[in-house]
Amino acid sequence: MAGRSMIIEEVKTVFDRPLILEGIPDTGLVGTISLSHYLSKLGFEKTGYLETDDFPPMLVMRNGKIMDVFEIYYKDNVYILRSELPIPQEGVYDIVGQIVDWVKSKNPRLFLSLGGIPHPYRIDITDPKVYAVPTSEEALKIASKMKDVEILRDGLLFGPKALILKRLERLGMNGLGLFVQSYLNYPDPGSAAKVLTLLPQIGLEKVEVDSLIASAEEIRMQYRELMRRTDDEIRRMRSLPPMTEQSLV
Amino acid sequence: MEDFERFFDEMRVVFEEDLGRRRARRMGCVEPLYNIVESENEIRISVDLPGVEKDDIKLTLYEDSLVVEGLCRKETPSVRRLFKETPLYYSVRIPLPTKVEEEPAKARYYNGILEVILTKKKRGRRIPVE
Repeated sequence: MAGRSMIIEEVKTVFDRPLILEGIPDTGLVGTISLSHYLSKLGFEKTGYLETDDFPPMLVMRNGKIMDVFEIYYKDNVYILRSELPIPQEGVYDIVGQIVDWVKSKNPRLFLSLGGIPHPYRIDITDPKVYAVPTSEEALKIASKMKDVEILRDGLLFGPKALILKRLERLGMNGLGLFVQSYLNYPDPGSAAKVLTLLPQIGLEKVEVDSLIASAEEIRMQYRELMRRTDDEIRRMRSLPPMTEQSLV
Repeated sequence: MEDFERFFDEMRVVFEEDLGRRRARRMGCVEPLYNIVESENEIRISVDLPGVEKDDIKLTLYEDSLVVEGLCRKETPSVRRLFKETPLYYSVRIPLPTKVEEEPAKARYYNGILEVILTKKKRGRRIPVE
């Protein structure tokens, strides 16, 4: 193992140019909340996890069972990557490298990263806008056809999602970041619901989002600690030195 | 001199944030997440207070800080497990990045988020040239 991290697949999956969805904790925890909701509604099977020395020594218990911090789920040619912790700054290049290598090995039709883009006056926004970051011409075509999605023309993205998309672009792979306007440092189930409503446009199963919106306050209570940790990591990553050619290889 | 003052202001904010967090923990309160957005004339402070009723929020404005307290009446499985039957109290002392006017201060509570808008104190007085 070149770095300190490795993706382990415990269950063999049969796939053919699958879709891969990623919901690593980030701005507003949009990806984490939306994909947790998606998983809870559609009965995916856990097929793997990320083994890394970069996460703090912690244990996740769910329904009396020990879970992994970073898990991989699979169902009907769709993979979901979901994490209970933000990717720490110290391990970001190594972990992203492992994720990208794994994604490459699956030769996906599309890699979809779901996240938030902070808006200072989010409280006043009832229908948040969604911006797309495509990594290839084909991904651009997909994004351009989507209703309610605007291509991000200018802007800066920080953190693991930015690094993953940049590397996919270098590899000529089809990646698409869908970033919805959200609170910067509060869990945002409303924005998570918005991004979920777009998924059927790329061939993914539709899920109801009313229950997500109705339990928004409970979700925000539940995710408060993860949001605090994620916010700390986002702030630390903003102070990282710029990416170099060497770090991108 | 201005840089020097700014440095001390920043240090004060960092120190007070840490002090406030420790005080809240000691009292058994949960420190809510908050965010500050500054514009030319205003400071908008939003505080994440899920599960709180509007009437259970207490706001106190000091010269250099805003204290927000609230009682959470809702429960989630994770909160219930951690806090058993004890009610959940939010409490945070938010250091202000600059001096503000006492009036007019506006506050609203929407979908579990409190927003307080404060007017910045004008630093200088314009002198008309005759």
